[in-house]
Amino acid sequence: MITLLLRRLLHAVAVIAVAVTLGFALIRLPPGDALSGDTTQVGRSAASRDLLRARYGMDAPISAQWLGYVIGAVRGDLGTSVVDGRPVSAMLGTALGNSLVLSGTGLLAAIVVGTLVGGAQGWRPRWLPGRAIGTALTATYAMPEFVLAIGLIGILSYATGWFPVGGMHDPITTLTGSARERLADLGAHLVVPSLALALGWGAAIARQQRVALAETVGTDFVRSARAKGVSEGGVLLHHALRPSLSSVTATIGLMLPVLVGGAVVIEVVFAWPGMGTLLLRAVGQRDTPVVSGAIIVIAAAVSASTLLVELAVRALDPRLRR
Amino acid sequence: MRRALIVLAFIAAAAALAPWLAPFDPAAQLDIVSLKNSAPSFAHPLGTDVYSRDVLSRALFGARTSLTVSLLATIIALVVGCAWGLLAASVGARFGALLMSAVDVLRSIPRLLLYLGALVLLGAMQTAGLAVLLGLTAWTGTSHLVYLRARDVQARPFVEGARSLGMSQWRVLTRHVVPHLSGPLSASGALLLADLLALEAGLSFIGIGVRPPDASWGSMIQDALPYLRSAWWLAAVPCVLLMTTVLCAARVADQLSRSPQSGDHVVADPRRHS
Amino acid sequence: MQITILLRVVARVVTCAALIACGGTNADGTVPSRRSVLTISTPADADALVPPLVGTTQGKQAVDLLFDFLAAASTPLQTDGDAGFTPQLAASWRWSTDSLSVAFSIDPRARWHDGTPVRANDVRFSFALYIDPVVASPHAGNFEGIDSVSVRDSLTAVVWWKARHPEQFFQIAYNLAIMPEHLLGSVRRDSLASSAFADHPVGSGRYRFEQWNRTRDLVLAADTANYRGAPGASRVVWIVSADPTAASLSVLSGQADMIESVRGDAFTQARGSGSVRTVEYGSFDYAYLMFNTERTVAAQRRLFNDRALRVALTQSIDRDAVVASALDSLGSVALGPFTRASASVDTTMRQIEFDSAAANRALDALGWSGRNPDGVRTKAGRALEFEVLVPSSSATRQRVAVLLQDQFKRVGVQMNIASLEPQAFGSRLEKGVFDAALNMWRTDPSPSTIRQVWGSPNGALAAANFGHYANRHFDADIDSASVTFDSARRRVLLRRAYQTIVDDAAAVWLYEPRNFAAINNRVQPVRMRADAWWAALADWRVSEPASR
Repeated sequence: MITLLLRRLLHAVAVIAVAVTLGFALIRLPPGDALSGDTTQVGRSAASRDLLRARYGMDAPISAQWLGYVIGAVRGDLGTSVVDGRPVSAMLGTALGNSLVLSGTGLLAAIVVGTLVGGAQGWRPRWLPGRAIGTALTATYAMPEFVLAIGLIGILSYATGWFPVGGMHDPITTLTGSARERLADLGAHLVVPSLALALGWGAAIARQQRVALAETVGTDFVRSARAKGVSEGGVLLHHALRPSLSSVTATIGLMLPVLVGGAVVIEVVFAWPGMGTLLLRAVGQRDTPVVSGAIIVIAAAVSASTLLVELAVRALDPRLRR
Repeated sequence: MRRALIVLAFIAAAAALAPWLAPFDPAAQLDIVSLKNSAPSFAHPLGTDVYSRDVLSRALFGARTSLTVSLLATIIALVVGCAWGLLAASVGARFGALLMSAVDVLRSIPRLLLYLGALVLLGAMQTAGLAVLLGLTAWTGTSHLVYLRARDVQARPFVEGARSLGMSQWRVLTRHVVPHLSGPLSASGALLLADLLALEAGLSFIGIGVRPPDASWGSMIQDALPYLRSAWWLAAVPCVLLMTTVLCAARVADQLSRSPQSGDHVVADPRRHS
Repeated sequence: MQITILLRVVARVVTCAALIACGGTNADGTVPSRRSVLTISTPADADALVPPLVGTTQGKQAVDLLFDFLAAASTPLQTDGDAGFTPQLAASWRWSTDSLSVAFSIDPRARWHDGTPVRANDVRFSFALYIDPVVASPHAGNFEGIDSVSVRDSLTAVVWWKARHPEQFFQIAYNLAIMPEHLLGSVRRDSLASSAFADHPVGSGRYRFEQWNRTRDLVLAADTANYRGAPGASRVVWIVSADPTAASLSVLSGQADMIESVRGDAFTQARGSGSVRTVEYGSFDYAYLMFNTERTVAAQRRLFNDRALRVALTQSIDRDAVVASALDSLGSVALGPFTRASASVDTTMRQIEFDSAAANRALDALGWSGRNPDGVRTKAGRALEFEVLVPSSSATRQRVAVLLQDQFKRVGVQMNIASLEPQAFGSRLEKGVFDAALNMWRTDPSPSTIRQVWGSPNGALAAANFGHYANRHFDADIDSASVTFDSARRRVLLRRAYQTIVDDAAAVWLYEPRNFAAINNRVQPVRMRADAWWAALADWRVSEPASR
């Protein structure tokens, strides 16, 4: 266990180191330095620019600058946005939180949907409703996500008016509403985008669940459990679901980069103020510090969550435990 | 699967023959006043868009662009992934594991992020650049597969026998390992194709993929959104085409990954990329 | 049995989630605190809320509600003399006998939002802030000709002019937003944009600042104890929706109450909707393709210094077709840097007509006779290619750009489109880092403001002349027109100026849109002025929502 943890930690450090270097390279690669691209600096004389360069340490050798950037990143200072001078870490923090809320809810919904459907398909392969839903899920899975998103908006938000068209919150409720109203408002805004995510991800989980469950259906220990007289539900829950949970968790592990990094297209379609929309705007405005900072933050978050998932997989699957 | 393959082949053929099949230049604005958003008619079987461009021609050229980009990206991903996996399998257990953990590290960074980073550096991207970039960020899964397979094959007795007879590593690879890769590679390739097709459409949809006035199914859908009510066919055509192609590719990938050739290494599903 | 337990748990979770999602709304579909809130859907965010720094109309909307002006302009806007103005911050005013100064008496009831009374010092301070070169306000040029502002006593401020001209009163009353000296006096002038005041502005208007989530939403709350009376809506919210389609959609679905411009499908839907209606208001806007004619940059880079080339490019555009395609019947072709609503309009002016044969001949004569494999004209190896900037917030201009691209392609000119966020678009324009740009200008009846956009680049005077157009004769005519009291002579001078700039092909004058707002039926707008539909927003009535 310890060796696994150590190995994973080393891996995480490597990931972050690569990410920081990539981020640094992104900032320093273009010709000229950050000051020439900084829109707030245009108009300053050459002398004052040199002064600023000295103050920000831009005339130091590259290795010293890289070290400075690394230390800054570790301390949480990721620079300031080129466009409006605001600190990058604050922007990323808010955006990451918003993305996690959306992805987390979508994942939860996907797990529920996928586990139920996949479970039904694996346990009772010939059950017709299960097969129908499974086919529908495959269709939504193959559908490009923005098509699905637009369709859902059209039906659930526009045609019926049940849910808001986009965004994450209603500014009035945030200002004047009680905690319960604010939660309800968040919930209302969450429903359609997380449904879009869930329909897409649910199929992957359903497939994994079906395969895993189908494998265990015919095994000996299940048969003996049945022979012992354990009820069908009991057999399902205690003997079959357990090992399949680990493979489902492993599938989730594969989706982590998307979960953390923000489902960009969905966020853009729903105008969700997460990492995806922030990054897209930063790219459009050539706001390199934001993009670099995002690479680092997301890489770190992915490493951390990968480690957690690995631990969870090992905990869930008795075969892998030592 | 056969049906899916036939549909795919048909679309690919139409895309390849687009310059000859398309009745109009896809970027030509034919009559911006009277042919705007016109319904399907004899002269324009799929109607015209808001700039009076023929939708059929745009759909054909859009197929050409989308498929070319995705295919090129898939090939790059397969080649790079294969090369890396084989290299890792050939340099011995320790270095091989090191190389593969480097792959793991790269995989931790979401590839859309890498693409956005490249975009910030390079500004706008030509279509070829888009394909190369997409391919270069998608090869990690393939390398993993190839590595595992190659290691498996190399451990088998007949390879040991060949080695003891003095066969060089290169010949071992080409003669014995590579033929066994066709299964997992084809499954992986089909999955990659479906995935990259959807990714390219999504990128073009939000405006950072194929540059206008080049047609791409994703950007056609984006252009059509304000007119969903009055000219629904503008969105429907590229939507249907996109979904069909992706679905068929996914189906093919599904079938291939289940065939005995691909072995018991479940093809890791890189989808839901974003 | 266990599986039924599992299913029951799942069912409960789902119902809880559904309840949470729906539980916050009333039967009629609105949140309780939302009743008299006016929600405006807008495609771009305000750029700043400090009056001297505001550049976008979204910022201006908020600033006009947060801050007071000395007098309020009436509808329709009159710029000559003071007949078209009613008291706002100044309860009364008196002209001096030589008409070179006006003494404004501040309303003694006026208070800043923090409770401090408004004093004449604030007027003097505000003027100093606007014209301070360190602040570098783009509006400083509007105060050209004003000598100073002095304080006679705590409630009387006197404005002094260097010379008489017909728009003296308009100049000071329309442009000078009064700001609090006690809050802004100690702020460093060069970092006004990042000061605490910029994040939380304090004015004396009928709305006070409440919250600003940049690029997402801006909320103003009613100043119920305001000396001019409590406003109609309890709150005004601008919700930024980057996608123009989504912005219209939120109004049509009832999530927002108004959007200032609807076109295309959204327009048709608004016309046919039972809960939303379209309201037309006058337009002082015109859109144009601006050429960057600056001469100081390396000559071989610049294309547009050559008037003949600009004329040829203008001749290759079929403006009637472009406008008919992009705007249907909701706009007309622009004739010059003015709108048909101005008093000095001359529809018989000589225009550069669409003539692609002439354009081709002219381009050949200018030396662009080679062709590269893509069909683009070349001259000595260089392709006739340029990039045009378009803001992503304007769906119409995006569309026009694509249409123009094709029109230029037909004569062998390659125009590349760069779609930018509004903030980046504005910044590139200000820095002059562009070849061409599709800009829209909201003008006003005053002929002197045309100097701001097209007068010779002269520091603060022509702060909006991003294309660096410079013509002495044009300047002279505009300057003469702005000081003459004879309206007939003014018309003649202005028409001569307009003809000069049209002949110079400083820009391709594209379209004048008809403005249609989509407004929810529960909102009753009043006095929507052409240059500022939001001018009387504080008096709009927001009634109880009808059933959805």
